[in-house]
Amino acid sequence: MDQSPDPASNREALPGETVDRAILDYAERALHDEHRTSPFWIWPVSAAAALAICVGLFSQIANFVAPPTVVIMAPGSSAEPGLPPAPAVGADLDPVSSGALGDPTEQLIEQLRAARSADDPQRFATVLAHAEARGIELSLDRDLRDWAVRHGLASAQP
Amino acid sequence: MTAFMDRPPEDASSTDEALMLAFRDGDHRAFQLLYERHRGPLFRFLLGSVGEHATAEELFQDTWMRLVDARQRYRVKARFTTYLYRIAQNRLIDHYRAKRPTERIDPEDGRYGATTESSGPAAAPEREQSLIAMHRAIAALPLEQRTAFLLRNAQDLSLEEIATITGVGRETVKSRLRYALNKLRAALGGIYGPVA
Repeated sequence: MDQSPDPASNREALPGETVDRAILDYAERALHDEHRTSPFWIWPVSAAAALAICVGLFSQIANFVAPPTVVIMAPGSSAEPGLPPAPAVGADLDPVSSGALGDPTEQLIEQLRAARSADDPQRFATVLAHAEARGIELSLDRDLRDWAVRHGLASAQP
Repeated sequence: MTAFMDRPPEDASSTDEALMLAFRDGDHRAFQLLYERHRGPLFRFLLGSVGEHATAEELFQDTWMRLVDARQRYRVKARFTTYLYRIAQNRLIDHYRAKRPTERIDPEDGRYGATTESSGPAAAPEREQSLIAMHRAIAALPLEQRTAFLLRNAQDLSLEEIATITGVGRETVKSRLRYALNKLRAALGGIYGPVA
């Protein structure tokens, strides 16, 4: 008796070629789509974006929980206990709070020079008091110091 | 860099599990090898279960596509064969649920493949008649017994693996196999003699 497999039976006991092709194509397409939608740079970019979102959200939450306060100081008041009352100064005397760029010490010196040029001891004293209130130590040059001494605004010792 | 790139490429000597892992990590050739290896046995299991070539093809295609879709979740917990046939078994259950519950495969209606339809008993050679008789006897088994029998005899799976695939206990599988074999003996005894 012939024991070789019956060709007709074998053919019927296997899926058709169309089915084979469909399955293999499906698998290949799945892998292709996976790589196309996940390029190598997507993770760093995604991580950076996620971090930025987290930071933004955190900032929003922090602002919501503790909104930033704006303190408007009345003339003569002081924001910090223990400090002498801040002088009533205009925005032009406060380069830091007015948003001016540069070294605040240099800005104050410039304002002292301006007061010296205008021969305005009151204005000079205001700038000095302002510097002291802010804890800024000013080093006056000889001309300014002599002028201040003359008007009783500084001691003769440097 | 993917894990696939760190491993040597899989070949025909690789285990099923290694091929599936390689496929999961992007190796299409590994899938082709897996497919070639299991194409015939899986299709015969489905054909033996549903008795219709077109339905078997549909379930066969769906089983592989689900395997492709689930590749990222694949972990080696058991033999790949168990994994694959579990998917196929789930598809079979879905298929039977979608059908009318009273519908049964009629072993006399010649639906077990086109060969039986095109081959009249008078014209068929003796061996083909025997095959037809066996197919009809298997198709006449209750679904649970038929599934257990096909997995055990056609796929050579262990009782534990069949239990895992069908979601029942090992003793239940043994019982179903015993009933299936008794019925097949009764149906085919005159043709084959005692059925193993």
